[in-house]
Amino acid sequence: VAAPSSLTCRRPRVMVPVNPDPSAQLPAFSSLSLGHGAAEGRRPQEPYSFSRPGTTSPSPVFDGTRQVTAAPTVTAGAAERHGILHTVAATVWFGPRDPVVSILLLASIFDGLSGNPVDALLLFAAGAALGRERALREGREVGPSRMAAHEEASPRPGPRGLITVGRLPLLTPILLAGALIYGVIVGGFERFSWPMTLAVAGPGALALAVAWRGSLGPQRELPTADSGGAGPWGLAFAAFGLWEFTNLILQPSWSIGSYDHPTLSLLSDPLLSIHSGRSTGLFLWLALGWYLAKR
Amino acid sequence: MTSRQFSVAVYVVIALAGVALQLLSLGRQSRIPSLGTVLSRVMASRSGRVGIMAGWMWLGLHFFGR
Repeated sequence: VAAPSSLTCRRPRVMVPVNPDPSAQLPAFSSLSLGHGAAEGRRPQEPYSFSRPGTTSPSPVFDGTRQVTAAPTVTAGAAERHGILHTVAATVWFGPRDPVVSILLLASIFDGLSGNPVDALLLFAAGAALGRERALREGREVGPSRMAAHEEASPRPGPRGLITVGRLPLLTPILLAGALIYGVIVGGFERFSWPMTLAVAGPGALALAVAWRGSLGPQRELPTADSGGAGPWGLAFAAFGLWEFTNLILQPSWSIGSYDHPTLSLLSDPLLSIHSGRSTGLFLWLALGWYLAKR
Repeated sequence: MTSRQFSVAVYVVIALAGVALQLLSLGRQSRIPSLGTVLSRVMASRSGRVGIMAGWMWLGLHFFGR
């Protein structure tokens, strides 16, 4: 968040009351006279509010000397106007600030280059939705909402979603039975065919929508974890991703596999070329998705 | 060792490293969290949750879809 003084220096200053609410002025000025920081040029915590670029809020901006300007208006929050162009622009602009958005957008580009339009489209949609949400969050007033934005980015029990598994004890066995039937039926489809693609993209898109709402698992305390202790896991996943990418770029082309430098999908070809192998793979994939949806 | 065997060996080593980390996390005094704990932490934010689920969806489409 930019310092308030940097926001105000570009605009002509106008003298207005620090707090436009007359009933709140007395305590506000009382706090100044008691030396709570504002008189020395420090930013008081309340009741002032700060506006971020992109807001259209008329809230005044405190610059440390009780001289206040109108809030600057830039177009970063324009994504709220729901235009596709605004969403794309907000994603491109705010995406690099969120590593997840960057990863999703990069993955969608490489998937598109590899001739996988459905993967690319869904990954881009997920990245764009996150980028747009980030743009809206950054475009809102900072102040009380700044705390909300901080909470959103901080580890905490996720927003609980549509249903809670704990209240439906039979749900898990029913869904596992459904996954088994799904695996047997969809496993009969030819690999990389459109019926198979639609049969996989459907649950995938549904799971993404559910994930947006929150976890399906019961509310529980987040386990405390040493952030340094998670480093080895990060290294293992990074090593896998780099090795997969290395083998990918050593292929003759993006869409033609290499025998000498096989990717994991190429190595799995013998298993997934038979019906029972595809059924097993689809069942495990759905079970993994259910496990993740409950985290 | 051929290039193919080396490629496969690297995948196996990474997989074994994952198994070893999970086993190490079971110790009471271990500083290494389990994979489930790491996932819970990552998925506590909407960004992390959607990112992980997008990765799962990509796995399915990558191996089965077009």
